[in-house]
Amino acid sequence: MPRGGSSGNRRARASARRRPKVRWVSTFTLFAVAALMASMSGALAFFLPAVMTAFASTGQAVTPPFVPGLSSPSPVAAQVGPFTVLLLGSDDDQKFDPAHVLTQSMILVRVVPATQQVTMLSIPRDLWVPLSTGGTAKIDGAYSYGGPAAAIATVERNFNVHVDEYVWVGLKGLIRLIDALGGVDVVASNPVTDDYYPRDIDSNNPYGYMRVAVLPGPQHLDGTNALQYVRSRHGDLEGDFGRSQRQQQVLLAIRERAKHITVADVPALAATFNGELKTSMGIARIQQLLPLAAALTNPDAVRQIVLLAPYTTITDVDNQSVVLPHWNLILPLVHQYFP
Amino acid sequence: MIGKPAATAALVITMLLSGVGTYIYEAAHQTELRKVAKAPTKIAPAPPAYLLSGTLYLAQGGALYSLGGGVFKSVTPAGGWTQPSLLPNSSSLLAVKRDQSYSNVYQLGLDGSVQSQLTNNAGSRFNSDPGANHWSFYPRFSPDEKTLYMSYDSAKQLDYEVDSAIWGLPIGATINQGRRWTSPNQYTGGDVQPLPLPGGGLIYVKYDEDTDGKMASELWLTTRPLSAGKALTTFDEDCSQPALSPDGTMLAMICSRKQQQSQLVIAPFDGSSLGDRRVLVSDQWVAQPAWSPDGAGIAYLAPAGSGGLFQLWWLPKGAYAPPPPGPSPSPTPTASAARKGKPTPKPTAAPAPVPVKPVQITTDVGFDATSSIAWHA
Repeated sequence: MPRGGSSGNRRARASARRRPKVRWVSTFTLFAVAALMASMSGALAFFLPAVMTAFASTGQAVTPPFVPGLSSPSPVAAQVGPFTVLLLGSDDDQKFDPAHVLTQSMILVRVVPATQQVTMLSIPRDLWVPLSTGGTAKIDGAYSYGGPAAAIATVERNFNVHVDEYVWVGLKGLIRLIDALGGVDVVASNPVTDDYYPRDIDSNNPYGYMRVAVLPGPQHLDGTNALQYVRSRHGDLEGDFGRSQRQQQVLLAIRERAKHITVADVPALAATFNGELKTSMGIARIQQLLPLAAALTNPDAVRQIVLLAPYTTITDVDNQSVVLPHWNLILPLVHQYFP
Repeated sequence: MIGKPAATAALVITMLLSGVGTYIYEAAHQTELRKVAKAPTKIAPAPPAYLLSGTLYLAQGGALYSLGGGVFKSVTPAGGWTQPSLLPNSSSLLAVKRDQSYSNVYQLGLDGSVQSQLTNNAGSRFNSDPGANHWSFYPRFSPDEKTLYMSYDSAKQLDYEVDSAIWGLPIGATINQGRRWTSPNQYTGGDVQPLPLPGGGLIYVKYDEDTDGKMASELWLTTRPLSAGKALTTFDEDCSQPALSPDGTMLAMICSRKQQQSQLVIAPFDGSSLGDRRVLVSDQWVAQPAWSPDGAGIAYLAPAGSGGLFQLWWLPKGAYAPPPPGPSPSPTPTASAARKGKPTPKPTAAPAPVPVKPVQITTDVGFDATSSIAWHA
């Protein structure tokens, strides 16, 4: 086929000149897209344990993980509004049906990022209240009857607060969390000694007992010793109230260690829990809150509340020892710090 | 022009590098949260360690170590060993060997060899009740080396009560021949950390609780068994871990003020009361002060940085007893200056003393912060 005239020759020459450039652009684009997809795959592989844990723990949609270059770092702490978290801790050893555990530890935490105020209110596990699932019983039974939803609803109705998030942790979950953080630093308030501490962690007989003695003073506690410190109650004059003080102490120590966590640490942390931690918070929310932990630096801005007398009275109801709430005193206190 | 196979290979390599690279990038940005403590014998202490006179004994991970001449040596293998203290004549050590349900006091040679077991706190093999066991902690010999003082939880008065009291036990005697010296407050954990005094009597730590349910400690002085004694510090000061200076005139202690903090505090001690407190260290999690036998300073344990494993620190004496100021420089007017009517040079102020700061001796180890430091001259 004869080629065209002179203008056709020029077009052909121009096309020949352009073709390599177009090819290079398309090749570069292809490589860039491939590299991007591969990067995302790499990030997904890295965050997979966290993603799986999030699905297993909360069953909620998981926000895509942070990929360098694709998303900006976590928002500054100041952009997070005030929020309330209900922390739940359970004895979930072999003695109990995993689906129906009591919450021996219940702590309401209010964080106001703008003022860096943190308020922790320990709810006595034996508090005698109407449950959201019906009837009146000790408040630690709410989770047992209806899971986190029932525990949250029971707390919200009785204390007249709104709970934004919850975190549930089992015995091993607390040990693993603290170990994954490299231990916590506490000033043990007194010698915590107990001759009848449950021997229910990795034991053939979960009904057995063991002796524990956590010595007083500043020290670095690993997960097992920290659990002993917050769980032991027999040797304490205030019993359950006494260990509530210690639980708040260790909670603050965990927050102190959490200051050093980055989002890159989330997968390793998530992998350690193995079902021993459940939360309503997704990875994106955790990513949002991590910088907040570092921003809360003023120890004087932390308020710790334990509902001792006169807020409560210990008495017997139906042949069981319970804690009776005096709502006329409790609700104004709660309203002040959990508006 | 690149051929198709080459382009494909390049694409695969690019994807591999991007994917693996991103994974490695994320992994590399993980925080080193879980630091594993190195054995003290595996580290080289900071140079000031060479200036510390004598030998220090410390506990880590159930093993005892010594530090002398700037070098750490193993004293005992890991086996629950903690809380070393020296006999007054420094010929041997006292230490606690802790098992899961009980602990015993042993007398050890300075090389760690067991010389004798001084308590027998294990319950009978035929008694499955955990409460049949006992704890002995914080052992100290009396200055005359005839009595072992320690905290000890005797037979329970109430079902769940495990409160230690300070006991005095003649050397070689059984606990039945010992004497209880103090009456602890019930359900507080009890009285701990006895410090026998050269003139008789002892200082110890007593725990109590305020109306808000907060526990705190006080230093108490008692001169005879079961006497009421007297408090040396207040409940709000929340002091513990007393250590007497070599000349017996100063007391170092750790005070927490019922907060999650600790301060190294010293105060003059006249044998019956404490004088004005002086805070030496307040920005660290300080524990276990120990005076150097030559009076050159105070060693203590504290994490490096914001928290974590406890390291050995050294606070030279200059930090709390600065040398007396030298004579003020008073310039002598020269005859020629006077003749020329020049103004006499003003005396220059003495330079402000440079504040003496604590020196970190170790890194990457993790000493037992509930264990005292023993210091041999």
